[in-house]
Amino acid sequence: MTSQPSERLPSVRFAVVDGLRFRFFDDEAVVFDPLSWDAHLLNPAAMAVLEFLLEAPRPGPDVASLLEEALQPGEQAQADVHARRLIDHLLVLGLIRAV
Amino acid sequence: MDQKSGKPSQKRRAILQGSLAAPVVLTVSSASAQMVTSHMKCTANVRQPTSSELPGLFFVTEAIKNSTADTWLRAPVTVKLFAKNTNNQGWFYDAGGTYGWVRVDTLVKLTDLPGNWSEVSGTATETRWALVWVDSRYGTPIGVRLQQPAYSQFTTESCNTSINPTAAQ
Repeated sequence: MTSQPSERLPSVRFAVVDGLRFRFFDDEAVVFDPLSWDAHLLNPAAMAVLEFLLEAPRPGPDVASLLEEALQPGEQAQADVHARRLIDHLLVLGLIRAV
Repeated sequence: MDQKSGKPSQKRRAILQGSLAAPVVLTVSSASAQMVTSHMKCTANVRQPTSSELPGLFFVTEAIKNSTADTWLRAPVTVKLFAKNTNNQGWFYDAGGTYGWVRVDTLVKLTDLPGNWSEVSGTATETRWALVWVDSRYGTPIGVRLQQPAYSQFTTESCNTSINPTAAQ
């Protein structure tokens, strides 16, 4: 079984790539990537993580901590899993990069 | 993020604490997604540009502009292998302009990658397909997607195959 990038590199920090455009709809946001020409709808939790990484590059465990605080009580126990999946997804989409 | 300043809002995040559902990212508008998910769209793109119609990378000629066949083109793109070390290599294509070399699988600019990446000497260049989304009104490219590894959601293999059956042979 192949490990995901965020699992292999727990100490690596992740940062948002340059040039993204944001359009907000309440707590959700559409992120447009002019490089890939893709537009992505991020729900509030995903957008909170992207904002978190916009402030400064952060490692995966910090993202998990953020989600543990932000998610509903029923989801908090899965914060680490959500963080890994989200980071991997954002990496694949090219919205964040390892630094 | 503060819309005016463009800076993230820590206050807003604090308000949201303990209230959010699991994170979800949905690609809502992707030219490549349309290409991959629409079989009819793929099979409709039977007209392929000749080499004389594509003299340069993503350059659309009058012959294509005046065509009513489709708004998608394929163009061969030369890719080169770059490496940061022996265990960290990737294929890049030259996107031109301010983008420069761009990694094929992640579409991250070479200049945005950490570390010192350099071209691997002695490695032959390869050709990948680029799908070019063209504004049919003006003939100008408005989106480009590179052929991707199979694990990526951006893979174009199935569509390439449907366009050009010989590609599967």
